[in-house]
Amino acid sequence: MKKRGIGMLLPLWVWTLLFVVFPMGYILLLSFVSGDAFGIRYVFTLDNYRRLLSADLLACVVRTLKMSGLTTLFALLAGYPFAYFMARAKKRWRTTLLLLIVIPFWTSALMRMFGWRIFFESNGVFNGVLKWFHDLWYGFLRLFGGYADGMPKYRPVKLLYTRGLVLFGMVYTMLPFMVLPIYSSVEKQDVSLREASRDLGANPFVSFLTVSLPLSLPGAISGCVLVFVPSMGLFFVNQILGGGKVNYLGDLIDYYIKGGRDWALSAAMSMTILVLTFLSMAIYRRFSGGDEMGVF
Amino acid sequence: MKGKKRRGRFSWVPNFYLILVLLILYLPTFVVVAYSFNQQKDGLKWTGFTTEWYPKLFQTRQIMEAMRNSLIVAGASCLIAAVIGTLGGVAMARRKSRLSGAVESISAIPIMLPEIVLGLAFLVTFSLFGIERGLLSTVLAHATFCIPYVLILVRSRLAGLDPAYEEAARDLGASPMKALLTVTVPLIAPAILSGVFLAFAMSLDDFVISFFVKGAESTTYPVYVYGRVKTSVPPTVNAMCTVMLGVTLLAVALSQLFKTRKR
Repeated sequence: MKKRGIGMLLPLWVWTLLFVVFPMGYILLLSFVSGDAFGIRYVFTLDNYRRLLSADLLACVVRTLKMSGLTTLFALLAGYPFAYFMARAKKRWRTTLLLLIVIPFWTSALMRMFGWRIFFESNGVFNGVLKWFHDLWYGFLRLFGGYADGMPKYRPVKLLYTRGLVLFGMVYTMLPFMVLPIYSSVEKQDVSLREASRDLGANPFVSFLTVSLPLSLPGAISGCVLVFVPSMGLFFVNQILGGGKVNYLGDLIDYYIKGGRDWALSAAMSMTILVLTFLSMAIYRRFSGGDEMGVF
Repeated sequence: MKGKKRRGRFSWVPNFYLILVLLILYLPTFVVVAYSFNQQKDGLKWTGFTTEWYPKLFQTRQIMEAMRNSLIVAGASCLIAAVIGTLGGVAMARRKSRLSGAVESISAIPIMLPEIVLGLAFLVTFSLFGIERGLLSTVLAHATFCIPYVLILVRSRLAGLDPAYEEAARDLGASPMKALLTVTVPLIAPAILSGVFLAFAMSLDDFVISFFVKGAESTTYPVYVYGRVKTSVPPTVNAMCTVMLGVTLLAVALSQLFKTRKR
């Protein structure tokens, strides 16, 4: 009986060892050896990390942290009310809302970035709608005597390749990761607590600030972790909506692997992301019982 | 006590906000689908409704290949995940040792880490093992993040399953393998299928990991879209995205169907 158990576990163990433990160990190792475009030499060095601290790479790390931080902040600002309203919606709507917010988890994020790109293109839908309003407005003016000699030409708003749009794309992509944990923590709150505070004379706002908000904090924190961690590596958002004008860590990892062929440096960058990942997960564990990752 | 319903002046705000965010959430998907029916060949001007790009999908070699690669990779990695995840899940449910607990959390790492780290780790490892970048490397990488989905669902299904069923089969003389295949697997089949279809959807739509481990001839559909997106995109790409979206949604629907089905 016992022997058979091992036989069945063996494939999983071997697979995990070969394709999870080994690769992780290997990039850890790579990040500490010297390497350049000609290959890897297995000599211990801290050079890769030293290079990460060099001016332009450090700026990139800081930029990445800033972008991920802003993504987390805006996802929280946009996602919290959504999750809160969702949890307070009528029960039969909740299931539908939940499904609608979960579907993006399963469908291609890249395809949706492609959609945004088409949308914001200078001759795309966004500018089409703005042009329509533009023409309508000047048409009105013309009707009442202004602009006798034709209306000014519409100049398309160029949002593509701006940092603001990249941030928008990141927040957009990560929003469901923020909504779900907050939703689950608001939803399981005891309604009577809130009612008690209302009956004791608190107005809705005070009641929210002193009862609902503190109770939903664990959900908000796990949401922040779930958003912050992946957003450090979402290079395709920056490439598609930002045109790769500014580089973040993710773009550089890709660049040094494919173009610069400096695997050791890429590995050191990955380790940086990994360390930040574990750090934020530790924060997450510290604040919540560690049972709210149940997104899948 | 106030009235039983406290409806203020701002009671429309929640519903308005929910609908607004959902509209934004689905807007880009709608844009991609809508443009797959646009007559205009290049450019974004709406010139009329057409379905002509769908048959054209099968006339463009690269698009055909991208779709075929995606389906091959998703199918093969799900098959691997189904076998390894089921065996592992069944064995773990029986042997609750500290070691198997550790393996379980380690094997769940691939769905918790940033994909880019995983992609890089796969790339360097495959290169060290001498595995060429191509369909094989993509399947191996995808199977690795597909396994946890099957494993988690099988484990949770087994947690609610009486071990007496399998013991009875064993007492009646079935070999361990026969008891597993004829009693346990049919009992947990909905969980396995649910995990497999979810993994199928995740594999189909994975971009970051595929992008790192792909070879020249193993471009999957998200990688192909990424490659084309910076130039002008023909409407056939929109049509391809729409078709693959349909396949993904079908897989997810099947996954949910099996998840809720109780035997």
